[in-house]
Amino acid sequence: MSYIFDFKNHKAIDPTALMSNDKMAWLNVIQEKAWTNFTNMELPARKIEHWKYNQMAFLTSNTFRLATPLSAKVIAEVSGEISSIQLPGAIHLTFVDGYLITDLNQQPTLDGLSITRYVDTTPEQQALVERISMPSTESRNMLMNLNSALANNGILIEVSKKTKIETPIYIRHFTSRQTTSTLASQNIVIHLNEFSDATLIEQFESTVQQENQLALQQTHVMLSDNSKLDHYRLNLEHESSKQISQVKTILSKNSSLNSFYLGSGSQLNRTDIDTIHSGENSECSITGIYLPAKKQTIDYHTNTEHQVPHCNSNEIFRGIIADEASATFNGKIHIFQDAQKSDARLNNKNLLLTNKAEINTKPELEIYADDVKCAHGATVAQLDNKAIYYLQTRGINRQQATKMLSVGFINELIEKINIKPIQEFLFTQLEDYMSHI
Amino acid sequence: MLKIDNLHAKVEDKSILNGLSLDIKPGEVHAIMGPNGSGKSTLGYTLSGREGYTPTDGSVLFNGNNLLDFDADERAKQGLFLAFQYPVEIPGVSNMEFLKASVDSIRAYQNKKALDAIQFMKLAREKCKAIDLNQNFLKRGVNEGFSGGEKKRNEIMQMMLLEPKLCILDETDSGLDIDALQVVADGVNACRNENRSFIVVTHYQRLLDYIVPDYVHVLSNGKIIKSGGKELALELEEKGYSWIDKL
Ligand SMILES: Nc1ncnc2c1ncn2[C@@H]1O[C@H](COP(=O)(O)OP(=O)(O)O)[C@@H](O)[C@H]1O
Ligand SMILES: [Mg+2]
Repeated sequence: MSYIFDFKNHKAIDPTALMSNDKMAWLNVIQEKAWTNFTNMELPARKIEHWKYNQMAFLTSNTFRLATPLSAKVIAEVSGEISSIQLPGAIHLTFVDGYLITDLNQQPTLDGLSITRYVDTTPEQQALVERISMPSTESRNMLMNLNSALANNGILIEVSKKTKIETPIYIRHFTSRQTTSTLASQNIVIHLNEFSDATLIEQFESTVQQENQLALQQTHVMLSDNSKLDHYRLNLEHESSKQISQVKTILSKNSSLNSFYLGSGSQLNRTDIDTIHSGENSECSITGIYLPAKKQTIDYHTNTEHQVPHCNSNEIFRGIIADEASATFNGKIHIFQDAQKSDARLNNKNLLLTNKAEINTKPELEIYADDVKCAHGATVAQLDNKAIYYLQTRGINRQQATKMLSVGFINELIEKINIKPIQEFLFTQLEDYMSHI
Repeated sequence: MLKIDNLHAKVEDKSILNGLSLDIKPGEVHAIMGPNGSGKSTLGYTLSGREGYTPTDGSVLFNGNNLLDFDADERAKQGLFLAFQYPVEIPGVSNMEFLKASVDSIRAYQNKKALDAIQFMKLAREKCKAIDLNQNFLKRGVNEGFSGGEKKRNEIMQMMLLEPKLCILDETDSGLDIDALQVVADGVNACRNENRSFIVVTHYQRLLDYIVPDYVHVLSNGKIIKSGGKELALELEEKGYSWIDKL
């Protein structure tokens, strides 16, 4: 079956054929809500604040076919293109164009960890998915609503109470070489029950040349009381791909989130990071690095909500922008009226390597409580000529000096990562990036 | 070694060096003294190839090559070393990584055998010790948060590691107390040999008690206005810089 999206006439798109039926009818509440949001929204365009810095004209310049599952033969071919971080013992899941190609039955079983395709969920699990991933009426991102409406191929990951999953859950997303303009969609819901602890690694890649592919992806995280998640999200797509995605994390009492984002590659990469402190004494640390080059655009929109008192959030994002690339960092901190004793920090630093590189950095503070600590800062700098000269007088040429200063700009963020193979992988990625600029 | 002939240089359209000539033979130590603003640092910057310090006339031969034709890093590879009056802080780049890159690049250019990580570490530790610099400084960012004296010692440490042919020391004595001055001078003196030359730039005679020069030159308004032996430094100290205005 092929399903066509014509964004120009998005209000006229008929969802009927996409709505789940039979076994999946439970998903309809989410889908219908998402469709309503989707059809009521205006198309992403520069005149809409939320999309101000993104080139979205490609949406209307042609129509998109919903990606269909690839044949086993093609999957075997593309599998070789997907790079892999060596993580001994990790649980591996691979999605191609939004479809899970891993046979879950072939995965090692770990006590306290369950991974279930939406189609195989129990009614309790369905209620959970609904609770965690239901789009809210205020959700500003039209394409994420579309993604929620297409959630049929989603998966649910659950970690039981008091369980520490020692090995990472390693999910690789790959967008393949489809023949026409296609739209791929993928949804993950992960729930950590009380006192549980897990590591989730998500990696995004795409095939070499993509005509007009659009990948939509959402990861919904629910952290129950006293649980702890380490979350890595590495975007390494080819420079022709476009991805719009969202990570939404809800933190309950005493829970903690430690996450790391890498944005490199992609023609357009837009990630909305919503982190909701809904339980007291929850804390998050969010670190991000973005490295656009050539004509790429990378855009992180973070929205950190302190809904209740006594929560800490700490966000650090740094970007190096090369060539004619552009980056956007929009960091919103929202402290609710009751959220006294909140401690929210946000820091964004940018290094522009050329005169044509562009950065839009914008803090957005909405603070309604009076007894809070909120520190935020953003800087934009160019390479320090004096430092380059100093290195040159020590026999280091300009190109290498540029490299050393650039790496030095983000080094400490990578060094903080405590999973060695990821750290090494990132240094390799960085090396690769530096050799092209 | 180095032959500067009638060098003129400007900074931002302002002429700073106005016909400077100097001839340095292998193994010699030349002191350059002069009041603030006379162009001492500008000479070091111009010789080492800093952008914005533009030679407008004259020539500089360094071991037979036209020094001014080369980029700053190439000049360093050919054996020119400048110890900065104000060493630059580079957060994020560790001193160790920086020194290794520097040593690697210079040794490769000079066809010397590459040092592996262990050999390099050993050498770097040795030099730190010689200059009384705690080895922890190797792990810190380049000059990051170093005190004035530590920065100066870090400069001399680099000089010892890189084994240059010509060393320009720009006010290496400023910011050093008397003990540190002794250590730094010992380090410099240990590097002296019949093939290595020095330009020691200083505002005060004091340093020259420790690093005894073969020649002393007085710089004023971008020109050498008087040259002599080491006794010239004492005379200058005694009579003050106002004396040279009357020369
Ligand atoms: N980057 C610069 N821009 C403008 N003027 C400069 C710059 N660097 C040096 N100068 C000027 O050049 C002159 C010589 O400076 P400098 O070489 O630093 O003297 P010294 O080291 O002898 O004290 C001074 O008048 C100083 O103001
Ligand atoms: Mg000076």
